[in-house]
Amino acid sequence: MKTNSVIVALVVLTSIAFSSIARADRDDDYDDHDKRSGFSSLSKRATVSPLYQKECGSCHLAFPARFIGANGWKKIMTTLDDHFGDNAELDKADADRILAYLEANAARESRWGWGREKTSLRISENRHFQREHDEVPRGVVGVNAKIKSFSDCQACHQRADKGSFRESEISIPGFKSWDD
Amino acid sequence: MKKIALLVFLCLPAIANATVLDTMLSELKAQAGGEFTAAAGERMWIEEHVSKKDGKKRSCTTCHTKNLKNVGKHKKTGKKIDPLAVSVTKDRLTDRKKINKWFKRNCKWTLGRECNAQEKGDFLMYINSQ
Repeated sequence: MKTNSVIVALVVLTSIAFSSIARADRDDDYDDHDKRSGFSSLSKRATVSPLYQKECGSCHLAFPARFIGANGWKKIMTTLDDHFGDNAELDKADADRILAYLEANAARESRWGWGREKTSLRISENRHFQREHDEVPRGVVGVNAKIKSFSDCQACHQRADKGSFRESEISIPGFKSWDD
Repeated sequence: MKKIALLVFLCLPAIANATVLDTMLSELKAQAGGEFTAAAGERMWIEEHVSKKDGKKRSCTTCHTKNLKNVGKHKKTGKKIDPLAVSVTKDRLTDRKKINKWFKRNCKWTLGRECNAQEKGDFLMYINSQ
């Protein structure tokens, strides 16, 4: 009888321990990411500018303003005639309005290193981005026809268009599930 | 009377369409001097231009495909582009600002310069014929 209670207690304790490990391992630590990287939390985030969504989102995902610092956005929005090799010119009034929105919601520069002159304007070349994607298997991006490049967020992040990049929302084409 | 009012109301978008395109065409005509034809627009549509930037051939078809009724694909980002043909995408050629924005961007990317009034008029005629 005594042995039985001990076994029951052990089973209960073990299952509690496992469930908490499982919870900790879920790695859906979006809020932690927020704190570490200087992201503003999803709930507090301002709604995306419809003009930004319309003008920039017609060619690519309207990348969240919080992924680039204010200086970076300024450089991007003032060199639209050569936008990573494409011409994406806007009339000045629209470009100015979009820049004002992006600057107001930009990444805090100290955390992202965007204040530095030589930092690339590509989000995918940002240190934080690369750290977050260092576990993506080689040969997936750019080789798999469904993922053209790292700038195609939505290929894997199912809710990228909503500005959400939670780990639980990742689905890499050709892979059963993504779990690190 | 009510029926007539309703009919006029329902036709308003169509009237607006004609106005944007007609206004643009007549303004371009005043600049170009000559007539515009869809055939000339079609010829330019498939014409290839070697880019000074990467040495590769570019044309309208690079992203929009040869058939304007097809869904196109942005060469770089891969994002889909709704068909340009007005018969498929109803709101094509109805927004003056949008037309001018894309003329500027796409002529510069494809031809390496802005299109002139004659070319714009021919392109508009071609797109409108599809």
